[in-house]
Order: sequence, then C-alpha cells, then structure tokens
Amino acid sequence: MKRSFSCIRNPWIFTHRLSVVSVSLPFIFLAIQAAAPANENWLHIRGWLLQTYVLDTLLLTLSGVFIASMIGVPLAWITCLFAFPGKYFIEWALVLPLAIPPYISAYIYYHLMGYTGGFQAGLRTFLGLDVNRFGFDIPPMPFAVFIFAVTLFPYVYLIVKAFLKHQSASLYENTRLLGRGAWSSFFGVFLPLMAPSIAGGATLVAFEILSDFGVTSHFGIHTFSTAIFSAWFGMSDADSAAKMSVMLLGAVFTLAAFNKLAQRTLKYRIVSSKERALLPRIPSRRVGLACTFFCVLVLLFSVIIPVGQLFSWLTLSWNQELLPRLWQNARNIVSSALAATSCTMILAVGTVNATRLFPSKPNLALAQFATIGYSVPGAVLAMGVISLFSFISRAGASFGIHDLFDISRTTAMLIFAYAVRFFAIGYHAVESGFSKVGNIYGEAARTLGAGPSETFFRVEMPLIRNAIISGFVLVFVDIMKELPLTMILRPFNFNTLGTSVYDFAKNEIMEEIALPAILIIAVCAAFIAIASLLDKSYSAARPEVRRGER
Amino acid sequence: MKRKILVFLSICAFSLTCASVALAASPEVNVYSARHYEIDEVLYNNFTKETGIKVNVISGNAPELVERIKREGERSPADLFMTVDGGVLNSAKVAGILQPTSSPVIDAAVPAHLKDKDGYWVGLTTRARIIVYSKERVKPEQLSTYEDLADPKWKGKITVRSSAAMYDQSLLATLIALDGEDKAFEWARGIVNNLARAPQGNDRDQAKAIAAGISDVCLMNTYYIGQMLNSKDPEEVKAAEKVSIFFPNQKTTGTHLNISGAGLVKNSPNKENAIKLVEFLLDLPQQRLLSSANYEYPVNPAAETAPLLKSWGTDFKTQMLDFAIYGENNIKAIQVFNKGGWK
Amino acid sequence: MFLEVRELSFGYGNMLIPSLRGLSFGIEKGEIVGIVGPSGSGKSTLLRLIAGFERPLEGSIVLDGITVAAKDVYVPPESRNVGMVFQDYGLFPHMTVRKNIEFGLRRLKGEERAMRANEMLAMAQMENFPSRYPYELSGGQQQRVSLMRALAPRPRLLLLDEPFSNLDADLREIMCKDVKTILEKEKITCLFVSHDQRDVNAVCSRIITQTY
Repeated sequence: MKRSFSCIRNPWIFTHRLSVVSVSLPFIFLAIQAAAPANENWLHIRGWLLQTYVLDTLLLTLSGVFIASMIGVPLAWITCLFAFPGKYFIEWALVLPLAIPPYISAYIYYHLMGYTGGFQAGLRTFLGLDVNRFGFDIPPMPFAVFIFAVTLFPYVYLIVKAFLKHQSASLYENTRLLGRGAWSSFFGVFLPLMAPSIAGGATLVAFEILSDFGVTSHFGIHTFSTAIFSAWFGMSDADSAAKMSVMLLGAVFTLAAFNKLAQRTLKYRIVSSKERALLPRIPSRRVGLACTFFCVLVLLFSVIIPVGQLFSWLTLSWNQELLPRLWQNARNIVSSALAATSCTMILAVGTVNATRLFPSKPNLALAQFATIGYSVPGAVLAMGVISLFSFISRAGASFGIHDLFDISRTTAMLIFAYAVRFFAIGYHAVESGFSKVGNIYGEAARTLGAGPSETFFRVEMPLIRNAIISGFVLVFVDIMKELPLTMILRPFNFNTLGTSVYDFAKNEIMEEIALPAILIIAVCAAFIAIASLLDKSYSAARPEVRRGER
Repeated sequence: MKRKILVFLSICAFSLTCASVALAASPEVNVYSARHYEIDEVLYNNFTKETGIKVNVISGNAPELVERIKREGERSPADLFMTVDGGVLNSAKVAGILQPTSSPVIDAAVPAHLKDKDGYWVGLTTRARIIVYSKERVKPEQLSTYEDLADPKWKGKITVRSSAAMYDQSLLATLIALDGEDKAFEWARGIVNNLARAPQGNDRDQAKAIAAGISDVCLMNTYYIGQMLNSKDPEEVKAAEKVSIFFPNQKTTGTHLNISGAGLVKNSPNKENAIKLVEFLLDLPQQRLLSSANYEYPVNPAAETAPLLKSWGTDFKTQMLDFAIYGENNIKAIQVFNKGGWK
Repeated sequence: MFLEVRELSFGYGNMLIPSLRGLSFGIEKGEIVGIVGPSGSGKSTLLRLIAGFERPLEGSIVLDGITVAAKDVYVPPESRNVGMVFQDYGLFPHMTVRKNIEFGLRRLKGEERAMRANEMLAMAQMENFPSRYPYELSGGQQQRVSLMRALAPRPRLLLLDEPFSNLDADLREIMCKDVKTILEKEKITCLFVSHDQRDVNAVCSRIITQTY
C-alpha cells in the first residue's frame, strides 16, 4: 500500500496526467504543423489589420464583460437580499439565458431590428412609421456587445450569487447598524467582498467572447478569433495564424493570471462557520416592485423576446416532415454531449482531487495548463484534433490495425475535442466545490483508515455533489450550444440541432431555424431545470449538507 | 482497483457513441460538402434509390473541409468534395487534395468553361452576382457596370456585405484580373465612399436595406432574390417585391458568374461511385430540380432553367474568365479590401 | 517508547521560518500526554505530522516500533492506525451518528461492527439518537460522537486537537472528566494539544510545554 503514492499507479495522478496529455496533444500537433516559413502576408496583416483586431477585440471584450457584470451583479444582489414579488420563479429563470446560444440570439435580434423584422414591420403596419427615414440603424459593435451581455450575464450572476449565499447575515446587519444605508453597504462592504467572484464570472464571460466565432462573424467584427480563422483557412497562412494564436493565448493567460491574483489578494476569509446565512428579507413595496421590474426587463431581452421570435417563425415554417430528421439530430447531439460531458467530468474530478492529494507546484501548474482548451478558437483546436487522430489512425494502420479510429465514421474525435475544450468549466466547478468543503472531512476519513479513493467516493463526493452536478450541466449546455468543433469534426451523416440552425442561417432562411433552435433551448432549459430541482430537493431534505458545505 | 473502475468508466463513456455509428459494408460514396442546400439531400436520396449506393455526407465550411481532408491524409475516407465558389474549388485543387477525372457523360454534359481546365473539378450549377436596385428610386438606365458603382453619383446609396464574404472576394478577384490591381483598389475605395452604412449582414439583408430605404443599389447572388420572392415570411416577399435586378457589364466584360462544383478527392476509396454520383447530378432531371428548387442556373445546357430565372433572361453576357483566377487573386482581393477600408 | 519523535522540523511551503524546529519527545504506551503552548506555536502542525497529513522536512516519527515518517519513508494516514479528534469535529455531515461511528469499522463483519458501534454509542450517551445527523446535535454531543468515532477502530494512538475549544465552560469541565474516564477505560495512548492549561491538567498525566 505504501507504493500507492508512486505517480503511475495512483488513479488520481493517472487521471491528472491523462487530462494534461489529452489537452496538450492537439496543441503539439498544431505547433508542429504551424512551423511554416514567414511570408509577406504577415506584413500585410501587421500593417493593415492588426491594430483593428487588437482594438476591436479589446473593445468588444471589455464592454461585453462590463455590461454583463452590470446586469449580473445587481441581479445576484437583489435576489439574495430581497424577497420581492415573483422571486422564486425569477431566480430560476435568470439562469435560462445560458440555454440560448449567443449566435442564435444574434440572428434573431439582427432580423428583428432589420427592415422585415417585427419591430420595424410593426411600426410600419400599425403606425405607418418608417424609422429608416430617420437613419435608423444599429452599428455592429454595440449590437454584438448587447448580444453577449444578455446571453452571458448568468455566469456573473450565478457565481456572485453562490458567493453571497455563503455570506453571513451579521455582515449586512452590522453595516446597517453602523448607520450605512442599503446602497452604501453594497458599495462600501459587499462590492469589495464580491470582487473575486465578480472577477471569476467576468473571466468566463471574457473567455466566451474571445473564442466566439458565430456572433462576431455575423456582425463582421474582426476579433482575434475571426482573424486567426481567416488567416489560416482563408489565406492558407498558418504562420500568421500561429503568430496571432500566440498573441491570443498571451491575452488569455494574462486574463487568467489577473483572475488568480484577484482571487488571492482580494479574498477575505470569512472567519466563523457558525453564522446565520444571508436570508432574503421582504422589502418595501416600492423597492420590491423595482426589483421585479428590473428582473423582468432583463428576462424580456434575454429570453422572452428571442424565444417569442422563434415561436413566431415557427408558425411560418412549421412542417411535420422535418420532425423525424430533427429528432435524429437531437438524439445525435444529446448522446454525444452526454458522453463527452461524462468524460469531461471524470477527468475534471480526478484532476482536481489529484491536485488536492499531491499539491506540488508542477501538479497545480499542469492542471491550470489543462484549462487552455476553453480559450482557443474552436476551429483552431479542431485542426489540432484532426491531426492527432489522423496520426493515431495512420500509426494504427502501420501496425496492421486498420479500424483503429476510423475517424470519419465515429464520434470519437468530436467527443475528445469537446472534452478538451470544456475541461476548464468542469474543473473550475469541481474546484470551487472542493474549496467550500475544505480538507477536514477528508482528513478525518483518512485517520479512520480510508484510503484516498475511498475517502473521495464515500465522504467527499457526496459533499461536493452539487458542484459536480452544476459542472455537468454547464458543460452539457455548452456542448449543446457549441458550433465550430461540431461543424468540423463530425462524422458522416451526423447532423446536430446546432448545425441545422447554422445551415438554415447560412442559407438565409431565418424562419426555418425556429424548430432546431427551440429544441436546443428546450433541452438546455430542461437540464438546467432538472439540476436546480435536484439541488433544491437535496438541500431541502438534508439541510446538514448545506451547513457542511459552509 | 478504483483506478480500473475509473478507466473502465471513461472507456465506456467514450465508446458509447463511438460505437453507435456502425461500419458500413454496402456500396457507398463519401461526400464532403460545403453546399448547404436542402435540395441536395433530396438528390442524394434519389441517387441511393436509383443505384443502391449510399451517400454519406459531412457538410461544413469549405476551407475547413479542405483542411480536414488535408490533415486526414492518405487515410481520408472522402470521395467527393463539393463546394460553392470557383476560388474555393481552385484552392482545393492547389491544396493537392483533388485528382483529375473525366468521363464521356461529364464531358457531354458540361461546357468546357464550366469545369477545371485540367479536369480537377466540374461545375454543377452557376449563379450570377448582379446589381439589385430599388424599383422606386432607380431607373435601370442609370445602371451600367460594377465599375460604375464606384462613381460619386452613388454616394450614400450602396450597401455591401463585409469583406469576409467569399462572393465579393471573388468578384473583386475578377475585377483585379480585368482592370488591374490599381483600378480594383480605386473601385473598392470608391464603393466604400459610397456606402450608406458599414458593411454588414448577408445577401438578403442588402435587399432589405433597399426596401427599407437605407440604400438604392446593392450586389446579390441571383438565387437569393429567387428565394426571397418565394419565402415563407411575407415580410421578406414584400421586401423582395420592392427591388429589381440588373445584369451589369453587358456592353463590356460581362456579368460576374460564380460556380458550384465537385472534385474527386485524391485518395478517394470509392472512385467509381463518386463519378456515378457526379454524372447523376449532371443529368437533366437533377439539373432541372437544382434550378427550380434553388434558383441556380444548371450547367448542363440541355437542362431546363427555372421559370423565374428564364423570366429574367438567360442569354446575358458573362465574364469569360478561368475560375482559377478567383482563387489565384483571392489573397490580393482580401488585401485590396483591407487597404480600401472595406471592413 | 511507544511513540518517538526525533529532531522533527517542518515548515509550510511559503514560510521562511519553519513552524517546528528540531522537536524531540517520546510517549510510553497508555500514557496521556498533553502539549500546551500559545496558538501558532506549531502544536496542530505536530499532530498533522504524526497523523500523516504532512511530511516532515527533517527528523523521524516512530510509532510502535515502526518508522512512519522519515527521510524516504512515508506511511499514508490510513495505514498508520492513528485516531484523531478535530477542533471542528469533522463529523461527516451527510451521515448519521451511527454511520459516522461505523465509518472506521469497515474491516469488521456486519455483526461485530454493529456491536462495536453500539458500544461506542453507549459510551457517547447517544444510544437513543443513532440516526440523527450531526447538525441536529448539540456541541457536547458532537464532541462525544467525534471522540467515539475516532476510538471505534481501536487506534494505536489518539490525537486530540483542541477538542474543547468550541464548548462553553460548564460543558467543558464535564467533557474533560468524561474524556479522561473513557480514555482510561479504553487504555489508549493519547496526545492532547491545547492552549488551555486547565484542560490539559484535567485530562493528562504528563505535560510538555511548547514555546515558539
């Protein structure tokens, strides 16, 4: 048993290494193939485009993150502090925007605000008003910022809310007793306390924006992701693409480092574990209605309008013959997403636990490194994955195993790529779950004779159950919404709901995207709902777990 | 022991869906297609019904599919690469993923200028990039050529797509070939100066901009107008009815024509089936269906063109350029767009 | 010597000054030894080293004739057969009192396990509440359950880390007596760490004073 601490034989370290290797391999293959000689194209890009790329990327990311936080933080604050009318439904509904892929939202709003869209058509039909006569036109950049803000704010909302739920009531009561008003206690006391969790949510939003392709390409905004893509696959200039990828990775690592720094320097340990939790109180009627109004307004733009538009398209395009095909597409993506999510979560749980059991600097750094899949453009990752699997397949053939990864016929490649891409989300979810539970239960179990694995399965896993579930749901929903990897890596005759939406949108037949888009949103929403029900019933039946998690 | 359980679980999860796609032993043909039209699916099904050959499809964006075939190397299962745009077809040829092919049926069905001169790809349908104008505010007599749109008289009256759109890149590539790079640059800058708004949206959005009164003229592919006129969305039909179309450069170099086509992949494992499929698609009934369902022009001169297209006239003069030019001048075109400020 | 600590040094990764330097002492079998010292003097660290949660920089720990920690030797906590009662008790919040106590008994057969658990429940005066969850217990009850949980697998050595610090004064006195009785009855070797001299006086037979 003493030998169980040697690296190779320990299952946790094995999983940890497996994650690291899985994530690195595609990038190694990319690096090998990107080693092309420099060409004059790079001079062109540097001379004419780079400045635009940098400025547009910065502008888009910063404003997107800012607006998303401006929506997410107040929402988290009021749902934790006040029991305003409709709170219980609203609190849950505010997660729903996560079910709506940003690119679908972009298609919808662009159409809606365009000439034939509901907004202008309505004005024309009912008021005889043609707003275009007054130069009505929405520039792409604010439009894209708006789309990202209304679809991505739940990341900030969820993380900040989770933080506030674990704050003690006395903190708020004391600030009030010390003569501070509600506003002042928000800005003076809670905002600094919330800073790490805001940074955490904002980082996720920034990553999503940086790696987006659908929204930016639709609005013709040149970010690094679209630039890398067009340099590589449009101009066949792998060299320039590699240069820009390195720049993007640099930005991503800076961002991640900032986030880490924020977590470390801004984190104030909440001392006692025996405080009463911050429970929502009933506000004055005026404040309550204002809260409800704000939430409904957010829901209107993030969920109600897009879904409403989809249903109105559905009435135009409803066609029963499409159903069997879409049903098949739905089954394709749901089963792949389930398989990939399971892999991702197993890797994530194993990796996090390995870093807890063996918290050496290299182990922690490697685990951090394994999260980069989330921050590179999907198309770039996809190319690395194809190279990797082609290599395996060729190697297999040279050993006489011809059907080893017959890559165009199985979803292996796709599932692998999903796992590499979304490992980061599972990892962070599990990590935050563990950090809430702390080490004490694990240590107690070890002194009672349980080995690391038994300790994990019998003691720690039940305690971080909710974190694992929420990680599972986040990864699953992200895969449902994913587009570039699916488009590039899918096997023969493998269509998903997302690719159907994309095909119709590319053909510019907007009303046909309704059914697949609604199905995506429905599946995601169902998952989110089931997860939150599980969470509620679990916590309600066993309040000790909530206490324990504090 | 726990490790074994863990490894076992991972393998289970991984193979769960991998296994769901069974290996096929029956005759088949593997198509990597960047044609994203629904009618294609119907045609594949008809092909299977007629020949018993199963058509497997991976659809995606053309550059990605080319890159995928390249990376899959000699073990790529791809038989046929199908895409739209002559530049892309040429880049597939240059990338070395295609092989030359010919058959008596293909030679008879497709005129020489609608396939690759070395036989690496063959056209399936064509489409023209035309000027679309407001019925209210523009008289057809005011229109003449693509080049004329850069004239200051159109200031504030044009909308275009972003320069990322392949169709405009190919148009510019031909203008570079016909007028020279300097003239093409002047043209791009002239268009940018005439824009009514920043480049955005897709082809249909340009027509909608005219209907909305934002602009008076724009560039569009023929089939989008056809599809708009037959849309399920009544607002789209109304918008399309407010515009009319014009075939430019009739007295000079001819209207810009683009092509969708198919090429046999270099390491094609089912070569014969692939050729059969191409021949099938070039046959009259399929050509007619492509035209009537999708408002594209058939490449087979004997096939019947959709009535709507016929009503626009089919004997317009087209640019008689080698489609290879679209690819060869593509990077130049992108650079000219960038220098000219066409976002 | 039953437990022998020789020249033990330890420092957390990011600290320049080691939190333990060259500490040596020994305990005879059946002894109850207290370690007193101000907080921050490395008492808890010492317990964590003996339990096996940390590995020493230098020095060695020998338990019952077996070296459990030294240069190149490291026996993981679950193989040391050392019990520990934590300051915050560390009762598994998702298990009942009985499940908590039975956790360390999985090597025993079903019947034996139940018997031992019943015995422990009785000693904890919890025989009437075996299916309560930890959050439903008072501080004193949690304290007793966690002690019994640690004793159930008959550890060679029991470590107590400030076990009374969360209790109020009256309860504290009672608990001290209870613990002493139980420890003597079970004939267990014990190392007790506290910052409070009174606790240690009440329970221990020998006292080591630890300074910075």
